[in-house]
Amino acid sequence: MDPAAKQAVRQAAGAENFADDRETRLIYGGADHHGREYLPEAVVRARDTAAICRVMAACQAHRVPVVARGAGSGLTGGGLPVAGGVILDLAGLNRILAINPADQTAVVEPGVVTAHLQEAVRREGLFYPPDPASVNFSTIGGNVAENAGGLKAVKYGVTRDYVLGIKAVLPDGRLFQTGTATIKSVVGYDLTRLLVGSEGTLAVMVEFTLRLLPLPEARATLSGLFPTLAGAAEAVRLVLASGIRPVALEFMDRQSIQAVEAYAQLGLPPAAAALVLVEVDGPGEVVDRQARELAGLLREAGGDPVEVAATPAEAERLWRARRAVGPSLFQLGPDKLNEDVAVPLGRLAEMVDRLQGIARARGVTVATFGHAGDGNLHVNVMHDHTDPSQQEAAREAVSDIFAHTLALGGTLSGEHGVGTAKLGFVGAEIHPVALELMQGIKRLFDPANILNPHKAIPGPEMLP
Amino acid sequence: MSPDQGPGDPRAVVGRAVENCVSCGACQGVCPLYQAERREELAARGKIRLLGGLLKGQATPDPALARVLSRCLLCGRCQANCPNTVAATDCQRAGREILATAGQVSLAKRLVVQGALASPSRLEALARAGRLGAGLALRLPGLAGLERLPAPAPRFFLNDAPHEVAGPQGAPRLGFFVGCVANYLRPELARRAVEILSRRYTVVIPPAQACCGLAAVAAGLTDTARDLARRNLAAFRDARVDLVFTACASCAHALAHEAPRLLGGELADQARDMAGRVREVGQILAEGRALTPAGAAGPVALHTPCHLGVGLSAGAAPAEVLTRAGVELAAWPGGNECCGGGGLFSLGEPELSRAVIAPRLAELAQGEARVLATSCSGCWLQWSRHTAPGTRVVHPLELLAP
Repeated sequence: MDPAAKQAVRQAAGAENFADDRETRLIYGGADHHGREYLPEAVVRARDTAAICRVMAACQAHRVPVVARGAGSGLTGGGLPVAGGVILDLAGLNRILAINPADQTAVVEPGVVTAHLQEAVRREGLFYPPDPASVNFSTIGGNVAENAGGLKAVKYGVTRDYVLGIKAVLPDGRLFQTGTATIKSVVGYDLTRLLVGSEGTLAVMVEFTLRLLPLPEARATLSGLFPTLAGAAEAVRLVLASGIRPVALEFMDRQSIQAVEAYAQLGLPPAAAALVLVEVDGPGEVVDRQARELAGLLREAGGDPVEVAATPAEAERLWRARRAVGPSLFQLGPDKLNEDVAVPLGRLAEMVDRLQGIARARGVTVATFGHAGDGNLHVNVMHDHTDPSQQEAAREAVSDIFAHTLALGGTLSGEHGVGTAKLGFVGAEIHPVALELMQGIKRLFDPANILNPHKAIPGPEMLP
Repeated sequence: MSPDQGPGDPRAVVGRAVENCVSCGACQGVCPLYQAERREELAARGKIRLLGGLLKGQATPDPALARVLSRCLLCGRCQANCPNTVAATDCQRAGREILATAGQVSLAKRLVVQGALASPSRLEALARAGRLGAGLALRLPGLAGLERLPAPAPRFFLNDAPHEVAGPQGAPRLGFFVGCVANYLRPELARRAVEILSRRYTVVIPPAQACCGLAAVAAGLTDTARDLARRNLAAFRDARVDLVFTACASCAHALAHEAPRLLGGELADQARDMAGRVREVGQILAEGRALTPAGAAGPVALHTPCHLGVGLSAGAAPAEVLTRAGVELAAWPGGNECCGGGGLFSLGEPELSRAVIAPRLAELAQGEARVLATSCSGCWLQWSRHTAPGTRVVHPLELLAP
């Protein structure tokens, strides 16, 4: 950024909301999955929509890259200032503007922490289901930009399914609105859905109208340990075919179970090949019946023991193993490559089989857990990055994982997004004509290519 | 470096945190300062990145860096809740030590820690001359509400305290670590503690005890903290006690968790042994028979100090003691949240401190309770300065009959 650009952005933001000192730049910087460090040239704390419009216009006029971010908690580098420029910090815009029980909607600013929204609507007897693992600190703005998923997708879908309308600012500073506060709307192209998951590359989203549901009356949780992977796969198949739609249907493999046990000592048997965790919700008497029925299916598939939680405290105990798995994986190796591929439900068992084959062939430890109910697996290749041969093997394993995922008709990322981490692989999944359309859309929204450049979709220069 | 210096080279502590932090942001979700202001530099993640820059030579130990690092309550929540078990709070403390070693510690903190807390005789002389409050007021910003604190007592507790108060025949020996606030400002609390505890235990009050050192640790003045830890270890080791109790969660935290870190070499084993005997008084009373209340107080808002709940993992003890004694506790969901005191933090960062306590004050204003009980002298100071007039702020002990 040259001095004129800095001066223009400072003036647009208001001096008290602009910082380019060394400390602030370091604090807002970060490293990508290769360990490369990126620092912004300046940070702007957004105070209101009018300021965002002014800042964007100034940045476009001076060709300054802008990375808009909330909590900065994404997993694929979406918030990294890879081209320098400005980080536009939206975390301070954290007002819940309205909760409308009559419409079953909420209107929120981008910096609202997802768990805070869930808590606020719960007090009105309402429910905002998307539930990424980062729910206690990630923001609605980031969740929408990455189309965050989570544990409840099997029954309730993902963030995309709850965004009715968006107010956003174009790189030239114009404010626009898409969508309505209605559940149905078929007027015009669906720009709302286009913006969801666009990773901050098309516009700066400043306000969301979100759809809410009635709060379910009761929940029940059950879990089963399986001596074989095939048994667990059969259990997942039986549950999905049962006619009961679980809220969550989670899976952990042997490596994940062993890591959790080493980390949290929950008394999980080391011989278990897999753990399956199921949650159902609805009216109390229905939930009880469904939990019994599903427990029967888990036993039928070879689950032993199968436990049904009778109290919220017991449910919490069953969930503890699943929640501990992320941090526990460092028991298996100092570094992890964490991929979140998804495959069609019918190919899940085959994918888990293939993952084991990849681990054997490449000589790496692969721990797999995740959302069996929606086909989204968290595949963690554990290694030591200071050992060049391990690092190479881990990277090769990830390439294999992607190839097998696509061969089974899956996707490279179910919920983490592309960011910088998967940019080089996008061309393998997206049809070339579709990619050309995407690049055209990017040019239409952001002709100067200043919004989160080098993220989400590869530019023409990156393609063969 | 002295021969009994403890483990934990501050650069190594910071280096490990920098290496292990994956910048996930979970610390933001639990940081009282981040919750209040939502500024990236307030939670551990931002500070760990900054300290990483310091180690790599991208930043220098200058006043700008010191200012960022001073904006932390050292409440321990980031460390307790880090999914990757990063020693985030230790890292903040070590960062301050690095800065203090480089000369970056404010004159005000140095005066309070080294000029007063570490030197009882000087503090006493200042208080005698009636200049303690005035002396602080001259040098420290953010003193709103300070006039509501009691003046230093005419006689400090330790001036007149017996060295031993015998309990029942064969009773365990409990050492009483009095702490600065109870000694200088609230001798009536110290006396109440002795009265209640000596009914079941022999209470030993070593006269040579000093400040717990937490303020010195927080200021990065590690040598001062180490000196205090050494004096306290000697005082209580010589008293041959089964347990050491405090009426302050922060003092207990310092004695249990900071002292063994500070003292190494030939003192390491003794320091660890002593640390294992330290309790906040609520932890001891929660294990004994039920006590009786000191009279009708109406519903009591019970606050859990960070150093009790997070530091000592004993957040439930005061509620158990009071409930069993028949004291009525008011429903207060915010009672487990940080009050924003943070020792000298509230004096150096009054606006941030105020932002943390503001939602708690709003909750209290909506409730019925006119008595607030907290087991930490730092929290007691903060609540006393900020609660509405007419609210009585006490230690839970003061709600129990002597």
